[in-house]
Amino acid sequence: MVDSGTLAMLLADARLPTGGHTHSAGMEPALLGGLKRDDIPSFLAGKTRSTTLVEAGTAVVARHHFISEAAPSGIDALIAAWAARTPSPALRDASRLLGRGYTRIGRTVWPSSASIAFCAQLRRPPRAVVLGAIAATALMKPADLVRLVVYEEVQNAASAVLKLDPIDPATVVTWVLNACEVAEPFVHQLSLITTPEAIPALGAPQAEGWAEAHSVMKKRLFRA
Amino acid sequence: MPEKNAPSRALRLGIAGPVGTGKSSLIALLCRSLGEELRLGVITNDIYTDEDARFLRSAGVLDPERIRAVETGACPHTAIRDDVTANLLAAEDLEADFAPLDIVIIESGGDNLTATFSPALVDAQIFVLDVAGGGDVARKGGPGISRADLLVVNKTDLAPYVGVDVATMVSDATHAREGRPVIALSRTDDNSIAQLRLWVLEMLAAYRSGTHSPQDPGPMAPHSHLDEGGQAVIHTHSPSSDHGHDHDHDHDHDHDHPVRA
Repeated sequence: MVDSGTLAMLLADARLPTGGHTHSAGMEPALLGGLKRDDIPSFLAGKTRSTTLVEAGTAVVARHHFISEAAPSGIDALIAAWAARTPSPALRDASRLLGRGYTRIGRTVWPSSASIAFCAQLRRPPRAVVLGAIAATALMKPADLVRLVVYEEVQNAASAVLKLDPIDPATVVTWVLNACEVAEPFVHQLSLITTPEAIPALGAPQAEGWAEAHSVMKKRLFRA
Repeated sequence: MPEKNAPSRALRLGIAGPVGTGKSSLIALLCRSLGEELRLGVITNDIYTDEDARFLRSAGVLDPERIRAVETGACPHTAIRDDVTANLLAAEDLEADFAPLDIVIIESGGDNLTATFSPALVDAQIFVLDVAGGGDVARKGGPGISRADLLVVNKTDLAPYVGVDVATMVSDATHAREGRPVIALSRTDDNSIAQLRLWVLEMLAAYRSGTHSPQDPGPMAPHSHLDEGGQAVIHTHSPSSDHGHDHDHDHDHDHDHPVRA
């Protein structure tokens, strides 16, 4: 069994073929919506404290479900809880595309996993649910799972800036580290939750509005 | 790897080649000449999402619903080679929404000469050059030119205006391809369109009968190194052993381009 930390590195690696490079985790919508470069670090910090915690919490609860129940009957309620906290259809759609990408990799890497097979049956599972299934399969620690989701969201958004509003890539690295630090005080508590009700109900209405506007724009580099 | 016998899904045909060589026009041509007899779908990969999709929709050659644009995050080469997920999902969706389809055509975002499709995404691929890009391009080689299933030298009607001899360019290409097919195409030359149409139909038949195996043209262009005597040696990495930047240099010091088995 591969160590939980190694698994997190594998899943966070941009070279993992999940289609992640076609997403900007809300950055392209934000910049096209008028976010200024100087405000990007604050945007990342705000994102980390809000919608990213919803994603991470959903993944942790999914992991718990897949580990503790042979027939993961609670997944429907979990997905409903995630959807209620993710009001933008464009963002839900983007998450489900990423979910299919992770499911594809998961099916190849862990072919005997019932949890990942269950995700495949869902056809369009949200990314957080699939990450939970992979974490349950590979025995990834819940705190590592939270940090993975945070890192993935922050890195995806920050590195998209290099394509959208070119800047010294080293600056972006600092943004990523700082935003991950913002999440650190929440990691332990979030890693312990087991029910959909415990998932933080935090929204980012401005970012959700930008995501909706972006989804009907003609000139996009990224899916969302 | 696609199944050997009686594949259950559509043929996935990639169209690659540098920017401006006429990939979208070639797809429009295919839709016009095959749209009556085959059920087609198209996926485009432009830099800015839907330029190519809009061009094709406005050409009126196919039901606009059957033309989908995929975002590539400004990395069109990644989307057809290192991480084909977005295109695979789009192909699956298109096939599911319009089942059954005969061919799903996937247009790469225009990139350089080294950008070719992974066999994880397409069953066969056409690489497109044009005479206006220069008569010497075919001679430069590269994975797409040398090893795509078909090389198209496009816009031959422009040759007199750009000082290119089509026969020489096709001959250079044929030499670089060691006999693999080359079509000199012009949308004003019906005979060339008929050749293209026939090639696609034959590829579809070969795919369906299980006699065609997807080829990987390989990610790297032939390049040269100096040997011990200071002579330039041109070589390629065979796609099966090539890992991109892993230069362990087990060269066969051959001036011929190694052929894939």
